[in-house]
Amino acid sequence: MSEIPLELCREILSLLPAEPLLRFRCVCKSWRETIDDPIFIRLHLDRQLLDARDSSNGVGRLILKGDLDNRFYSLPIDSVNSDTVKPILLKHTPTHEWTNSPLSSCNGVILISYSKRNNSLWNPLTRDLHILPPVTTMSKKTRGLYHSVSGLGYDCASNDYKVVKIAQIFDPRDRTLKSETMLYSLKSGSWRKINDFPYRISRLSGAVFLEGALHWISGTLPLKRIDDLIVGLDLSTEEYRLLPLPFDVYGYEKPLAKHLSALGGCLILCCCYRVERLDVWSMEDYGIESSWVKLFSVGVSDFVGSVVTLRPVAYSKRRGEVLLQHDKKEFVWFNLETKSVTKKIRIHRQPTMFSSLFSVASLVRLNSR
Amino acid sequence: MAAETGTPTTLTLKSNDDELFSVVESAAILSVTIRNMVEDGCAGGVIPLVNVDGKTLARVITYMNGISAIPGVGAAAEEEKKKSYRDKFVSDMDFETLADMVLAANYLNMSCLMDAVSAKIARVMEKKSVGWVRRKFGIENDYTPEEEAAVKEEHKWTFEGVETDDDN
Repeated sequence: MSEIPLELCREILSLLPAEPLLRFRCVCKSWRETIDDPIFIRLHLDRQLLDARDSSNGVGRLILKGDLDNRFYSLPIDSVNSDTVKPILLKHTPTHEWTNSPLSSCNGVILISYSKRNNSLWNPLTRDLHILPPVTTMSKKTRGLYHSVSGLGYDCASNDYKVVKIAQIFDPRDRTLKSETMLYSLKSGSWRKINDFPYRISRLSGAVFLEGALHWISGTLPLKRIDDLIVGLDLSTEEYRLLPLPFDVYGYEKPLAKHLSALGGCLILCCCYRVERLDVWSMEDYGIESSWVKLFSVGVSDFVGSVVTLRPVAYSKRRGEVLLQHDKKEFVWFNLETKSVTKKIRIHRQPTMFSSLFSVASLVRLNSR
Repeated sequence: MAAETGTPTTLTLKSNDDELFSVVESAAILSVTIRNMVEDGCAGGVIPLVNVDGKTLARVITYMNGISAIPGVGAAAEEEKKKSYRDKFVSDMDFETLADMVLAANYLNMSCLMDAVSAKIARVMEKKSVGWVRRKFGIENDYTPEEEAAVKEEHKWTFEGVETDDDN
Protein backbone atom coordinates (compact mmCIF):
# COMPACT_ATOMS: atom_id res chain seq x y z
CA MET A 1 0.00 0.00 0.00
CA SER A 2 1.42 3.36 -0.93
CA GLU A 3 1.81 5.94 1.74
CA ILE A 4 -0.54 8.90 1.70
CA PRO A 5 1.53 12.08 1.51
CA LEU A 6 1.18 14.71 4.22
CA GLU A 7 -0.82 17.19 2.10
CA LEU A 8 -3.50 14.57 1.47
CA CYS A 9 -3.43 13.53 5.12
CA ARG A 10 -4.05 17.16 6.00
CA GLU A 11 -7.11 17.24 3.74
CA ILE A 12 -8.47 14.11 5.40
CA LEU A 13 -7.68 15.42 8.89
CA SER A 14 -9.61 18.62 8.20
CA LEU A 15 -12.73 16.48 7.78
CA LEU A 16 -12.45 14.89 11.22
CA PRO A 17 -14.24 16.17 14.30
CA ALA A 18 -12.02 18.08 16.72
CA GLU A 19 -11.80 15.42 19.44
CA PRO A 20 -9.98 12.68 17.48
CA LEU A 21 -7.67 15.37 16.09
CA LEU A 22 -6.50 16.08 19.64
CA ARG A 23 -5.74 12.38 20.04
CA PHE A 24 -3.97 12.10 16.67
CA ARG A 25 -1.42 14.73 17.71
CA CYS A 26 0.30 11.68 19.19
CA VAL A 27 0.64 9.86 15.87
CA CYS A 28 3.85 11.61 14.89
CA LYS A 29 5.52 15.00 15.02
CA SER A 30 4.44 16.16 11.58
CA TRP A 31 0.81 15.35 12.38
CA ARG A 32 1.05 17.33 15.60
CA GLU A 33 2.55 20.25 13.70
CA THR A 34 -0.25 20.04 11.13
CA ILE A 35 -3.03 19.89 13.72
CA ASP A 36 -1.53 22.74 15.78
CA ASP A 37 -1.01 24.98 12.76
CA PRO A 38 -3.31 28.04 13.09
CA ILE A 39 -4.08 27.88 9.36
CA PHE A 40 -5.22 24.28 9.70
CA ILE A 41 -7.28 25.18 12.77
CA ARG A 42 -8.99 27.91 10.75
CA LEU A 43 -9.61 25.56 7.79
CA HIS A 44 -11.04 22.93 10.12
CA LEU A 45 -13.20 25.47 11.93
CA ASP A 46 -14.60 26.93 8.71
CA ARG A 47 -15.63 23.45 7.55
CA GLN A 48 -17.29 22.74 10.89
CA LEU A 49 -19.15 26.09 10.85
CA LEU A 50 -20.42 25.50 7.33
CA ASP A 51 -21.59 21.95 8.07
CA ALA A 52 -23.15 23.06 11.35
CA ARG A 53 -25.58 25.39 9.58
CA ASP A 54 -27.70 22.34 8.83
CA SER A 55 -28.03 20.25 11.97
CA SER A 56 -28.82 17.14 9.91
CA ASN A 57 -25.12 17.03 9.05
CA GLY A 58 -24.56 15.99 12.65
CA VAL A 59 -21.90 18.61 13.29
CA GLY A 60 -22.02 20.61 16.50
CA ARG A 61 -23.55 20.25 19.91
CA LEU A 62 -25.77 22.01 22.36
CA ILE A 63 -24.03 23.40 25.38
CA LEU A 64 -26.35 23.55 28.38
CA LYS A 65 -25.75 25.55 31.51
CA GLY A 66 -27.73 24.31 34.50
CA ASP A 67 -29.56 27.13 36.24
CA LEU A 68 -29.47 25.40 39.58
CA ASP A 69 -26.12 23.63 39.64
CA ASN A 70 -24.21 26.04 37.38
CA ARG A 71 -22.55 23.12 35.66
CA PHE A 72 -22.07 22.80 31.92
CA TYR A 73 -23.33 19.92 29.82
CA SER A 74 -22.91 18.88 26.22
CA LEU A 75 -25.48 17.28 23.93
CA PRO A 76 -24.30 16.23 20.43
CA ILE A 77 -26.83 17.54 17.93
CA ASP A 78 -27.25 14.19 16.22
CA SER A 79 -28.42 12.69 19.50
CA VAL A 80 -31.24 15.22 19.84
CA ASN A 81 -33.69 12.88 18.15
CA SER A 82 -34.98 10.57 20.84
CA ASP A 83 -37.76 11.23 23.32
CA THR A 84 -35.28 11.46 26.18
CA VAL A 85 -31.69 12.60 25.99
CA LYS A 86 -28.88 12.42 28.49
CA PRO A 87 -26.62 15.48 28.39
CA ILE A 88 -22.99 14.78 29.18
CA LEU A 89 -21.68 16.64 32.21
CA LEU A 90 -18.56 18.58 31.34
CA LYS A 91 -16.51 17.80 34.41
CA HIS A 92 -13.92 20.39 33.62
CA THR A 93 -16.14 23.42 33.85
CA PRO A 94 -13.91 26.26 35.03
CA THR A 95 -15.76 27.17 38.19
CA HIS A 96 -19.11 26.76 39.84
CA GLU A 97 -19.54 30.40 40.76
CA TRP A 98 -23.09 31.50 40.26
CA THR A 99 -23.89 33.45 37.12
CA ASN A 100 -27.14 34.27 35.44
CA SER A 101 -25.78 36.16 32.46
CA PRO A 102 -26.75 34.77 29.08
CA LEU A 103 -24.01 32.67 27.57
CA SER A 104 -22.19 33.97 24.55
CA SER A 105 -20.22 31.78 22.20
CA CYS A 106 -18.23 32.05 19.03
CA ASN A 107 -16.28 29.47 17.03
CA GLY A 108 -16.45 26.87 19.77
CA VAL A 109 -15.31 29.27 22.50
CA ILE A 110 -17.65 30.26 25.31
CA LEU A 111 -17.63 33.52 27.22
CA ILE A 112 -18.58 33.06 30.84
CA SER A 113 -19.36 36.28 32.68
CA TYR A 114 -19.33 35.69 36.37
CA SER A 115 -19.67 39.17 37.66
CA LYS A 116 -19.03 42.67 36.48
CA ARG A 117 -15.34 42.14 36.79
CA ASN A 118 -14.76 38.47 36.20
CA ASN A 119 -14.90 36.93 32.78
CA SER A 120 -13.43 33.82 31.21
CA LEU A 121 -13.05 32.41 27.75
CA TRP A 122 -13.38 28.65 27.67
CA ASN A 123 -13.04 26.07 24.93
CA PRO A 124 -14.92 23.03 26.29
CA LEU A 125 -13.32 20.70 23.76
CA THR A 126 -9.66 21.48 24.33
CA ARG A 127 -10.38 22.49 27.95
CA ASP A 128 -8.37 25.61 27.31
CA LEU A 129 -9.26 28.38 29.72
CA HIS A 130 -8.35 32.02 29.51
CA ILE A 131 -9.21 34.25 32.43
CA LEU A 132 -9.64 37.85 31.41
CA PRO A 133 -8.08 40.53 33.55
CA PRO A 134 -10.69 42.34 35.67
CA VAL A 135 -12.36 45.31 34.04
CA THR A 136 -13.53 48.38 35.87
CA THR A 137 -16.40 50.28 34.40
CA MET A 138 -18.40 53.19 35.73
CA SER A 139 -18.43 53.89 39.36
CA LYS A 140 -21.36 52.49 41.29
CA LYS A 141 -21.59 55.87 42.98
CA THR A 142 -23.38 57.21 39.93
CA ARG A 143 -27.08 57.16 40.74
CA GLY A 144 -29.39 54.90 38.85
CA LEU A 145 -30.08 51.42 37.63
CA TYR A 146 -26.89 49.69 36.66
CA HIS A 147 -26.57 46.74 34.40
CA SER A 148 -24.10 45.32 31.94
CA VAL A 149 -24.12 42.87 29.09
CA SER A 150 -21.27 41.22 27.29
CA GLY A 151 -20.60 39.31 24.13
CA LEU A 152 -17.85 37.37 22.38
CA GLY A 153 -16.96 37.60 18.70
CA TYR A 154 -14.19 37.05 16.21
CA ASP A 155 -12.48 39.75 14.16
CA CYS A 156 -11.15 38.03 11.06
CA ALA A 157 -9.28 41.11 9.86
CA SER A 158 -6.93 40.85 12.82
CA ASN A 159 -7.51 37.13 13.58
CA ASP A 160 -8.46 38.07 17.13
CA TYR A 161 -11.17 37.09 19.58
CA LYS A 162 -12.83 40.07 21.21
CA VAL A 163 -15.07 40.49 24.20
CA VAL A 164 -17.34 43.51 24.46
CA LYS A 165 -18.78 44.66 27.75
CA ILE A 166 -21.44 47.36 27.80
CA ALA A 167 -22.23 48.94 31.14
CA GLN A 168 -25.15 51.33 31.50
CA ILE A 169 -26.62 53.38 34.27
CA PHE A 170 -30.11 54.68 33.70
CA ASP A 171 -31.39 57.34 36.07
CA PRO A 172 -35.20 57.10 36.06
CA ARG A 173 -35.64 60.46 37.77
CA ASP A 174 -34.33 62.55 34.92
CA ARG A 175 -34.30 59.76 32.35
CA THR A 176 -30.64 60.12 31.56
CA LEU A 177 -28.46 57.32 30.37
CA LYS A 178 -24.76 56.91 31.02
CA SER A 179 -23.06 54.28 29.00
CA GLU A 180 -19.58 52.82 28.85
CA THR A 181 -18.31 50.21 26.43
CA MET A 182 -15.14 48.26 26.95
CA LEU A 183 -13.45 45.93 24.50
CA TYR A 184 -11.04 43.13 25.30
CA SER A 185 -8.68 41.74 22.68
CA LEU A 186 -7.29 38.26 23.27
CA LYS A 187 -4.19 39.16 21.30
CA SER A 188 -3.38 42.25 23.32
CA GLY A 189 -4.52 40.72 26.62
CA SER A 190 -6.06 43.98 27.75
CA TRP A 191 -9.25 46.01 27.93
CA ARG A 192 -9.77 49.43 26.45
CA LYS A 193 -12.63 51.84 26.12
CA ILE A 194 -14.33 52.16 22.73
CA ASN A 195 -17.21 54.23 21.31
CA ASP A 196 -20.12 54.05 23.69
CA PHE A 197 -23.16 51.99 22.85
CA PRO A 198 -25.53 54.69 21.68
CA TYR A 199 -28.84 53.28 22.89
CA ARG A 200 -30.35 51.74 25.94
CA ILE A 201 -29.68 48.06 26.20
CA SER A 202 -31.85 45.45 27.82
CA ARG A 203 -30.25 43.67 30.75
CA LEU A 204 -31.41 40.36 29.43
CA SER A 205 -30.23 40.89 25.89
CA GLY A 206 -27.89 38.16 24.78
CA ALA A 207 -25.29 39.04 22.16
CA VAL A 208 -25.43 37.37 18.77
CA PHE A 209 -22.27 37.22 16.68
CA LEU A 210 -22.84 37.28 12.92
CA GLU A 211 -21.14 38.82 9.90
CA GLY A 212 -18.23 40.15 11.91
CA ALA A 213 -20.43 42.03 14.37
CA LEU A 214 -22.03 41.53 17.76
CA HIS A 215 -25.73 42.28 17.85
CA TRP A 216 -28.09 43.23 20.65
CA ILE A 217 -31.72 44.19 20.90
CA SER A 218 -31.77 47.61 22.31
CA GLY A 219 -34.40 49.86 23.72
CA THR A 220 -35.17 53.36 22.70
CA LEU A 221 -33.24 56.36 23.77
CA PRO A 222 -35.11 58.03 26.57
CA LEU A 223 -37.22 60.92 25.34
CA LYS A 224 -37.09 59.80 21.75
CA ARG A 225 -39.92 57.89 20.16
CA ILE A 226 -37.80 55.44 18.26
CA ASP A 227 -38.94 51.92 18.74
CA ASP A 228 -36.81 48.93 19.55
CA LEU A 229 -33.73 48.46 17.44
CA ILE A 230 -31.19 45.86 16.49
CA VAL A 231 -27.76 47.33 16.98
CA GLY A 232 -24.61 45.75 15.66
CA LEU A 233 -21.05 46.53 16.70
CA ASP A 234 -18.51 45.77 13.99
CA LEU A 235 -15.55 44.21 15.77
CA SER A 236 -13.11 45.31 13.13
CA THR A 237 -14.06 48.97 12.71
CA GLU A 238 -15.59 49.37 16.18
CA GLU A 239 -18.50 51.19 14.60
CA TYR A 240 -22.15 50.71 15.39
CA ARG A 241 -24.75 49.88 12.80
CA LEU A 242 -28.53 49.74 12.95
CA LEU A 243 -30.36 46.87 11.39
CA PRO A 244 -33.93 47.37 10.26
CA LEU A 245 -36.66 45.29 11.88
CA PRO A 246 -39.17 43.47 9.68
CA PHE A 247 -41.65 45.93 8.29
CA ASP A 248 -44.74 44.24 9.72
CA VAL A 249 -43.39 43.21 13.06
CA TYR A 250 -45.88 45.49 14.75
CA GLY A 251 -49.07 44.41 13.03
CA TYR A 252 -51.97 44.90 15.39
CA GLU A 253 -49.95 45.10 18.52
CA LYS A 254 -46.50 45.86 19.76
CA PRO A 255 -44.47 42.85 20.85
CA LEU A 256 -44.04 42.39 24.58
CA ALA A 257 -40.49 41.19 24.22
CA LYS A 258 -37.97 40.50 21.52
CA HIS A 259 -35.07 38.11 21.41
CA LEU A 260 -32.20 37.66 18.97
CA SER A 261 -30.44 34.51 17.91
CA ALA A 262 -28.83 33.00 14.82
CA LEU A 263 -29.82 29.96 12.78
CA GLY A 264 -28.28 28.58 9.63
CA GLY A 265 -26.09 31.69 9.30
CA CYS A 266 -29.04 34.11 9.45
CA LEU A 267 -30.07 36.60 12.12
CA ILE A 268 -33.25 35.49 13.87
CA LEU A 269 -35.70 37.76 15.65
CA CYS A 270 -38.30 36.30 18.02
CA CYS A 271 -41.23 38.48 19.03
CA CYS A 272 -43.52 37.54 21.90
CA TYR A 273 -46.98 39.03 22.05
CA ARG A 274 -49.35 39.43 24.97
CA VAL A 275 -51.91 37.09 23.45
CA GLU A 276 -49.60 34.07 23.76
CA ARG A 277 -48.04 34.20 20.35
CA LEU A 278 -44.45 33.95 19.21
CA ASP A 279 -43.37 35.09 15.75
CA VAL A 280 -39.98 34.05 14.49
CA TRP A 281 -38.35 36.01 11.69
CA SER A 282 -35.21 35.27 9.72
CA MET A 283 -33.12 37.89 7.94
CA GLU A 284 -32.17 35.90 4.86
CA ASP A 285 -29.83 38.56 3.47
CA TYR A 286 -27.91 40.30 6.19
CA GLY A 287 -28.80 43.96 6.49
CA ILE A 288 -31.53 43.95 3.87
CA GLU A 289 -34.92 44.90 5.32
CA SER A 290 -36.89 43.24 2.53
CA SER A 291 -35.14 39.95 3.19
CA TRP A 292 -36.89 39.39 6.52
CA VAL A 293 -39.00 36.25 6.25
CA LYS A 294 -41.45 35.10 8.88
CA LEU A 295 -40.29 31.56 9.52
CA PHE A 296 -43.26 30.66 11.64
CA SER A 297 -45.73 31.77 14.23
CA VAL A 298 -46.78 29.66 17.21
CA GLY A 299 -49.80 30.33 19.30
CA VAL A 300 -51.51 28.70 22.21
CA SER A 301 -53.49 26.39 19.96
CA ASP A 302 -50.39 25.04 18.21
CA PHE A 303 -48.41 24.43 21.24
CA VAL A 304 -49.08 23.09 24.69
CA GLY A 305 -47.28 25.25 27.16
CA SER A 306 -46.14 28.81 27.28
CA VAL A 307 -44.76 30.07 23.99
CA VAL A 308 -43.02 32.96 25.66
CA THR A 309 -40.17 30.75 26.79
CA LEU A 310 -39.48 29.24 23.36
CA ARG A 311 -35.99 29.89 22.04
CA PRO A 312 -34.67 28.64 18.68
CA VAL A 313 -31.32 26.88 19.06
CA ALA A 314 -30.72 24.82 15.91
CA TYR A 315 -31.99 24.35 12.39
CA SER A 316 -32.33 21.23 10.27
CA LYS A 317 -32.40 22.35 6.67
CA ARG A 318 -32.91 18.85 5.36
CA ARG A 319 -36.02 18.28 7.44
CA GLY A 320 -37.20 21.90 7.39
CA GLU A 321 -37.40 21.92 11.18
CA VAL A 322 -36.29 24.23 13.95
CA LEU A 323 -35.17 22.99 17.34
CA LEU A 324 -36.55 25.15 20.11
CA GLN A 325 -35.76 25.16 23.77
CA HIS A 326 -38.95 25.33 25.77
CA ASP A 327 -39.63 26.40 29.29
CA LYS A 328 -36.00 26.12 30.36
CA LYS A 329 -36.38 22.37 30.64
CA GLU A 330 -36.92 20.60 27.32
CA PHE A 331 -36.59 20.82 23.56
CA VAL A 332 -39.05 20.53 20.69
CA TRP A 333 -38.62 20.07 16.96
CA PHE A 334 -41.00 22.29 15.04
CA ASN A 335 -41.74 21.68 11.37
CA LEU A 336 -41.84 24.88 9.31
CA GLU A 337 -44.12 23.48 6.65
CA THR A 338 -46.73 21.69 8.72
CA LYS A 339 -46.37 24.36 11.44
CA SER A 340 -46.49 21.76 14.13
CA VAL A 341 -44.38 20.14 16.80
CA THR A 342 -42.97 16.86 15.48
CA LYS A 343 -41.07 15.76 18.55
CA LYS A 344 -40.74 16.70 22.18
CA ILE A 345 -37.41 15.92 23.81
CA ARG A 346 -37.04 15.56 27.54
CA ILE A 347 -33.89 15.66 29.58
CA HIS A 348 -33.00 12.60 31.59
CA ARG A 349 -32.45 13.91 35.13
CA GLN A 350 -29.80 16.64 34.89
CA PRO A 351 -29.91 19.49 34.27
CA THR A 352 -33.50 20.19 35.32
CA MET A 353 -33.51 23.86 34.38
CA PHE A 354 -31.04 25.30 31.94
CA SER A 355 -30.18 27.69 29.17
CA SER A 356 -28.64 26.36 26.00
CA LEU A 357 -26.79 27.38 22.91
CA PHE A 358 -25.50 25.67 19.83
CA SER A 359 -21.75 25.46 19.33
CA VAL A 360 -19.21 23.62 17.24
CA ALA A 361 -16.31 21.73 18.78
CA SER A 362 -13.21 23.57 17.65
CA LEU A 363 -9.46 23.51 18.12
CA VAL A 364 -9.27 27.26 18.67
CA ARG A 365 -6.45 28.13 21.03
CA LEU A 366 -6.89 30.68 23.77
CA ASN A 367 -3.39 30.76 25.13
CA SER A 368 -0.35 30.99 22.92
CA ARG A 369 2.16 28.27 23.67
CA MET B 1 -8.34 3.66 -32.42
CA ALA B 2 -7.75 6.85 -34.33
CA ALA B 3 -9.45 9.88 -32.88
CA GLU B 4 -11.91 11.73 -35.06
CA THR B 5 -12.90 15.23 -34.11
CA GLY B 6 -16.61 15.69 -33.42
CA THR B 7 -17.40 11.96 -32.89
CA PRO B 8 -17.45 9.99 -29.63
CA THR B 9 -14.08 8.49 -28.99
CA THR B 10 -12.74 5.63 -26.98
CA LEU B 11 -9.49 6.20 -25.18
CA THR B 12 -6.95 3.62 -24.16
CA LEU B 13 -5.52 4.06 -20.71
CA LYS B 14 -2.41 2.24 -19.51
CA SER B 15 -1.71 1.62 -15.84
CA ASN B 16 1.80 1.67 -14.37
CA ASP B 17 1.84 -2.15 -14.44
CA ASP B 18 1.06 -2.12 -18.17
CA GLU B 19 -2.59 -3.10 -18.09
CA LEU B 20 -4.67 -1.56 -20.86
CA PHE B 21 -8.23 -0.29 -20.50
CA SER B 22 -10.74 1.15 -22.95
CA VAL B 23 -12.89 4.02 -21.80
CA VAL B 24 -15.32 6.30 -23.58
CA GLU B 25 -13.73 9.74 -23.72
CA SER B 26 -16.70 11.52 -22.17
CA ALA B 27 -16.34 9.33 -19.07
CA ALA B 28 -12.55 9.47 -19.00
CA ILE B 29 -12.37 13.23 -18.96
CA LEU B 30 -13.96 13.27 -15.54
CA SER B 31 -10.28 13.13 -14.74
CA VAL B 32 -8.83 16.58 -15.36
CA THR B 33 -5.41 14.98 -15.76
CA ILE B 34 -6.68 12.81 -18.61
CA ARG B 35 -8.60 15.70 -20.12
CA ASN B 36 -5.43 17.79 -20.20
CA MET B 37 -3.49 14.95 -21.81
CA VAL B 38 -6.17 14.60 -24.48
CA GLU B 39 -6.09 18.31 -25.18
CA ASP B 40 -2.34 18.09 -25.49
CA GLY B 41 -2.83 15.56 -28.28
CA CYS B 42 -2.44 12.15 -26.64
CA ALA B 43 -5.82 10.82 -27.73
CA GLY B 44 -4.48 9.07 -30.75
CA GLY B 45 -2.29 6.70 -28.84
CA VAL B 46 -2.29 5.16 -25.43
CA ILE B 47 -2.51 7.38 -22.37
CA PRO B 48 0.06 6.30 -19.81
CA LEU B 49 -0.97 6.79 -16.18
CA VAL B 50 2.24 6.29 -14.28
CA ASN B 51 0.83 6.72 -10.81
CA VAL B 52 -2.04 4.25 -10.87
CA ASP B 53 -1.87 0.45 -10.87
CA GLY B 54 -4.22 -1.76 -12.89
CA LYS B 55 -6.34 -2.88 -9.95
CA THR B 56 -7.07 0.70 -8.88
CA LEU B 57 -7.52 2.02 -12.40
CA ALA B 58 -10.15 -0.65 -13.04
CA ARG B 59 -12.10 0.66 -10.06
CA VAL B 60 -11.72 4.27 -11.16
CA ILE B 61 -13.04 3.37 -14.60
CA THR B 62 -16.05 1.65 -13.05
CA TYR B 63 -16.66 4.92 -11.19
CA MET B 64 -16.26 7.03 -14.32
CA ASN B 65 -18.72 4.90 -16.25
CA GLY B 66 -21.14 4.80 -13.36
CA ILE B 67 -21.18 8.54 -12.82
CA SER B 68 -21.48 9.50 -16.47
CA ALA B 69 -24.35 7.06 -16.86
CA ILE B 70 -26.48 9.04 -14.43
CA PRO B 71 -28.97 10.97 -16.56
CA GLY B 72 -29.12 14.72 -16.17
CA VAL B 73 -32.71 15.15 -15.01
CA GLY B 74 -32.51 18.42 -13.10
CA ALA B 75 -29.54 19.87 -11.29
CA ALA B 76 -30.62 19.04 -7.72
CA ALA B 77 -31.97 15.56 -8.46
CA GLU B 78 -28.93 14.71 -10.53
CA GLU B 79 -26.64 15.83 -7.74
CA GLU B 80 -28.53 13.70 -5.22
CA LYS B 81 -28.18 10.64 -7.45
CA LYS B 82 -24.49 11.25 -7.97
CA LYS B 83 -23.96 11.69 -4.25
CA SER B 84 -25.78 8.41 -3.63
CA TYR B 85 -23.61 6.71 -6.20
CA ARG B 86 -20.42 8.00 -4.60
CA ASP B 87 -21.52 6.98 -1.12
CA LYS B 88 -22.30 3.48 -2.35
CA PHE B 89 -19.06 3.32 -4.33
CA VAL B 90 -16.91 3.87 -1.24
CA SER B 91 -19.16 2.03 1.17
CA ASP B 92 -17.53 -1.40 1.22
CA MET B 93 -13.93 -0.55 0.50
CA ASP B 94 -11.32 -1.62 3.00
CA PHE B 95 -8.76 0.87 4.20
CA GLU B 96 -6.00 -0.17 1.81
CA THR B 97 -8.36 0.25 -1.15
CA LEU B 98 -9.49 3.65 0.15
CA ALA B 99 -5.87 4.74 0.42
CA ASP B 100 -5.14 3.62 -3.16
CA MET B 101 -8.30 5.41 -4.33
CA VAL B 102 -7.45 8.70 -2.66
CA LEU B 103 -3.98 8.68 -4.23
CA ALA B 104 -5.42 7.81 -7.64
CA ALA B 105 -8.16 10.44 -7.41
CA ASN B 106 -5.54 12.99 -6.46
CA TYR B 107 -3.21 12.07 -9.33
CA LEU B 108 -6.07 11.92 -11.82
CA ASN B 109 -7.45 15.20 -10.48
CA MET B 110 -10.99 14.00 -9.82
CA SER B 111 -12.20 16.27 -7.04
CA CYS B 112 -15.66 14.80 -6.36
CA LEU B 113 -14.28 11.29 -6.08
CA MET B 114 -11.49 12.53 -3.88
CA ASP B 115 -13.91 14.33 -1.56
CA ALA B 116 -16.04 11.20 -1.24
CA VAL B 117 -13.07 8.94 -0.52
CA SER B 118 -11.48 11.41 1.92
CA ALA B 119 -14.76 11.74 3.81
CA LYS B 120 -15.02 7.96 4.04
CA ILE B 121 -11.46 7.64 5.34
CA ALA B 122 -12.23 10.30 7.96
CA ARG B 123 -15.36 8.41 9.06
CA VAL B 124 -13.42 5.14 9.31
CA MET B 125 -10.56 6.58 11.37
CA GLU B 126 -12.58 8.82 13.65
CA LYS B 127 -12.81 6.47 16.61
CA LYS B 128 -9.59 4.57 16.06
CA SER B 129 -6.50 4.47 18.20
CA VAL B 130 -3.18 6.15 17.52
CA GLY B 131 -1.60 2.73 16.95
CA TRP B 132 -4.22 1.84 14.36
CA VAL B 133 -3.63 5.10 12.49
CA ARG B 134 0.13 4.60 12.44
CA ARG B 135 -0.25 1.05 11.10
CA LYS B 136 -2.77 1.90 8.41
CA PHE B 137 -1.06 5.07 7.23
CA GLY B 138 2.37 3.48 7.42
CA ILE B 139 3.61 6.22 9.74
CA GLU B 140 6.59 5.76 11.99
CA ASN B 141 6.41 7.09 15.50
CA ASP B 142 9.16 9.70 15.80
CA TYR B 143 8.41 10.66 19.40
CA THR B 144 10.53 9.40 22.25
CA PRO B 145 8.45 7.59 24.90
CA GLU B 146 8.72 10.63 27.17
CA GLU B 147 7.68 13.03 24.43
CA GLU B 148 4.73 10.87 23.48
CA ALA B 149 3.59 10.58 27.08
CA ALA B 150 3.75 14.37 27.43
CA VAL B 151 1.69 14.99 24.30
CA LYS B 152 -0.85 12.37 25.38
CA GLU B 153 -1.13 13.98 28.79
CA GLU B 154 -2.15 17.30 27.23
CA HIS B 155 -5.47 15.81 26.06
CA LYS B 156 -5.61 12.46 27.77
CA TRP B 157 -9.40 12.37 27.99
CA THR B 158 -9.57 11.95 24.20
CA PHE B 159 -8.05 8.49 24.66
CA GLU B 160 -10.86 7.27 26.90
CA GLY B 161 -12.99 4.59 25.35
CA VAL B 162 -10.65 4.08 22.40
CA GLU B 163 -9.45 0.54 21.76
CA THR B 164 -5.69 0.52 22.01
CA ASP B 165 -5.14 -2.33 19.67
CA ASP B 166 -7.96 -3.02 17.26
CA ASP B 167 -6.94 -4.08 13.84
CA ASN B 168 -9.84 -4.07 11.39
